Amino acid sequence: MNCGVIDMGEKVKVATTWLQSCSGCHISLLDLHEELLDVLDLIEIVHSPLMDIKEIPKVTVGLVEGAVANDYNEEVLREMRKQSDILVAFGTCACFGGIPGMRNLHKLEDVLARAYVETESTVDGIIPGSPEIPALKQHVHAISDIVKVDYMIPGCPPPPQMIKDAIVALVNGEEIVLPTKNLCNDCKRTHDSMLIPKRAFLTEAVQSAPELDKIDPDKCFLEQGVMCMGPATRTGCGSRCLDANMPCRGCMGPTPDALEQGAKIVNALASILPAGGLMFNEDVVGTGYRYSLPVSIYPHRADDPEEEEKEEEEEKEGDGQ
Amino acid sequence: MSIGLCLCKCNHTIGDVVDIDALSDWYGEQGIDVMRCDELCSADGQKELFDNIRENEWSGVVLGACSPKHYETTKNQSAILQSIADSGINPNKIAFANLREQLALPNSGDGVFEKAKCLIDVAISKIEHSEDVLVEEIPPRRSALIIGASISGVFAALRLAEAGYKVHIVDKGEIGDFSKYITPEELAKIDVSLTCAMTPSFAGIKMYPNVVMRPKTTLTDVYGRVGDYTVQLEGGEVLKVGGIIVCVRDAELTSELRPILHIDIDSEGYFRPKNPAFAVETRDPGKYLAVGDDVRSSILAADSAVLSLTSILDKNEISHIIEVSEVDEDVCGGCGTCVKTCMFHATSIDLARNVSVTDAARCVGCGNCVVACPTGARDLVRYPNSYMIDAIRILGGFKTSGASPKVLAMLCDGGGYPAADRAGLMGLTYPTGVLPLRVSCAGRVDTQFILYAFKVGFDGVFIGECPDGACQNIVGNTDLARRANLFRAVLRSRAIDTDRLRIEEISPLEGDLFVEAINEFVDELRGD
Repeated sequence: MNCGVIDMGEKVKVATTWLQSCSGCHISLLDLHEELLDVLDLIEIVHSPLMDIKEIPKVTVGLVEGAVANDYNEEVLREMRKQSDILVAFGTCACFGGIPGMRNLHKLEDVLARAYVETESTVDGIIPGSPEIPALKQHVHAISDIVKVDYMIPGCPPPPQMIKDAIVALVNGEEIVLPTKNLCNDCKRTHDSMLIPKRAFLTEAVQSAPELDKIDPDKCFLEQGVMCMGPATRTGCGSRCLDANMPCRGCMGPTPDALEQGAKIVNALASILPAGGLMFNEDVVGTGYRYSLPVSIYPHRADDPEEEEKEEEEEKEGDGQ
Repeated sequence: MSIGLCLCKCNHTIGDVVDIDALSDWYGEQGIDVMRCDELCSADGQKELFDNIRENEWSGVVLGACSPKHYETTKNQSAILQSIADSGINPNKIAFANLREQLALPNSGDGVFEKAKCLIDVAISKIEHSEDVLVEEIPPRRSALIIGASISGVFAALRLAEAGYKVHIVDKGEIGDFSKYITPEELAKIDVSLTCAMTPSFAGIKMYPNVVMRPKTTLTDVYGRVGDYTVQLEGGEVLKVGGIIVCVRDAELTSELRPILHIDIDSEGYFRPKNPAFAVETRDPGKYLAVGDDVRSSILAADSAVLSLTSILDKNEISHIIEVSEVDEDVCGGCGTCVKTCMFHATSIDLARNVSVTDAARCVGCGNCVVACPTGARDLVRYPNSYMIDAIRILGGFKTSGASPKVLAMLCDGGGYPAADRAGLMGLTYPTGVLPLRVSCAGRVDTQFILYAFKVGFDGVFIGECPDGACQNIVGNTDLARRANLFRAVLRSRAIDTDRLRIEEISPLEGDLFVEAINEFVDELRGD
């Protein structure tokens, strides 16, 4: 401890921002509690939604939470890229589009109509068209669609320790290294049936949601007939959900060797019945792409127009560090 | 790495449809060594190829010629492959552009030249994305397993015993009962001297000390490669043999044996040879079929199978291409999905390290586990993921004329691909916008590939697979069906009409069915 003696000169300057998101990743940073003080010994946060500073100054590290869903998000993101030596996608929305990315399953006009006109509580609704309101982009994007991203910290939200480790690594001039295996690698449950080379392995009826309290906390969810995204999801979350006897929902996104998460879980579970049957009971698309639709191989509807090009490619190149 | 391109005109068959000289110029400008010949399967053509490989020090070669199936199932062409390998090119660095059966014969007119470039580019991509495959040399075991003490079984055992081989002959029933294998009517028809030859022969195999008769025996597991198979019998006894001759012609028994022997079956449910012209050879060079319609043909089949087998097992060393599914241990988390998927019991989890491992003696390289792997940690040596994606990208770049739809035809090695070859040989035609991509099995069709095909602009994706129950990897077609059933929800969510994905069951000789199905699909896509 340096007993509160702050040497501003040696601290690494950090800016943070949030785009289309819930602020949960910033809350997770604050969830470091006392350890946040250790982090603040190393860095100086010079711009953040947690503070009230309008301009983004030049910084070494920029942390961007959230997906890009409107023009303002894009403008802020580009400014962050311009001002940051190292840009980090902070949390699943920034990395993969996250929950806001599910908007891509609908046409933009339908989204607007639903939100402003068709909702049951709306009378004589109109879709706002003021130039002061940032226009929604045609699709929701992961930030890597718009600018070059140096590192990512996935998770919805990323666990506080993971955020701290990432910041400490960057301050020490090291790379952010993410685990590459799937969640099963760190799952402490037994999975004996999964290791028997025999297709059908569920002998009991698939459990329904109201029976969740009957789930054996020590046994693989899939073996118990409970849909779990763990096999198709990158580990590193600390398996918090599993410890709470809740199956993985896939928030850490795909492993680095998979092209995408949704098709991969279909490939994996469809053929090992009745595990495949589990997916029929669920919303296949919602389960497989809940957090990563904007980085899917096919990230939006075929009948929806492509995003208008705005010399993005050029800038993306130019921003390369 | 220097890749050479060998373009065969197949006399006029390819040469009159595809401008080989212009193709040669095009690739020459790309810095690729190109050789042209009139007929690669002639002695002159082959000499020229081997001269080129040697002089230009090619480390990979694309054969723009006839179907790779010819090279895998006929004598002369497999000799070409062997010679290419002997000249120092790894077997995984030999790739094919099927310019005859799947281009010059069924297609014509505009687009043929551009399609030829696409097919060659795909073959080049295959070499660029493929790692060298491991080639292993082993001394073969001079022993054989005969399954079925039928007429051909007994004669095969006799021949092998005479040649000094250790022979195990197994049968579900008794051994040595000639009358069981012939009806009284048949017996009455045949020459009396044949009858006189049979009875003592059946009795005679008991006289050989190197023949072990195993009546009332059931097989529970067979794995390994030519020269070295492990055979497990009910009761736990294990046999080690160099080769296997199957002398069974009983549909019920065939269906019992099929999941153990992994030999393909025909539409009537009997084991079938890999090429109808060579009646005893199967896809596995250590397993042979010996069945006949009558006494005489049974004995001939036995002789043919024995000669084929001993010509391999008499060698001091035989080489194996280890084309297995590989695991990226940095990514595999040991979930066990591959263990559940593999019908060959080739995958298991190494519990000490918590990663999946492949048993090379059991893996057939079908790729089902690669598709099933939820992490992408598994990849196939022969058809790597990066190649498949790149191939779809290249084929997706083909421009069809006017409103003509563009179709990606993923064709499985056992059914769709040979059927498409057959269609070409039958003189049947289909639109140039049908772009073929060979896959090891329907189980190798990853839903990611289908999604990517729509992404790169295909109007339709056609998958030609083995008929139900006849998949050469047992469950590849079933697994594709299950995956596709779930995956259609993904297509719907992207507003992609699920009718744009078509899965058809086609037997290898049903060229007419292939063309009928593909033309119907193209018409539907066009909106006719």
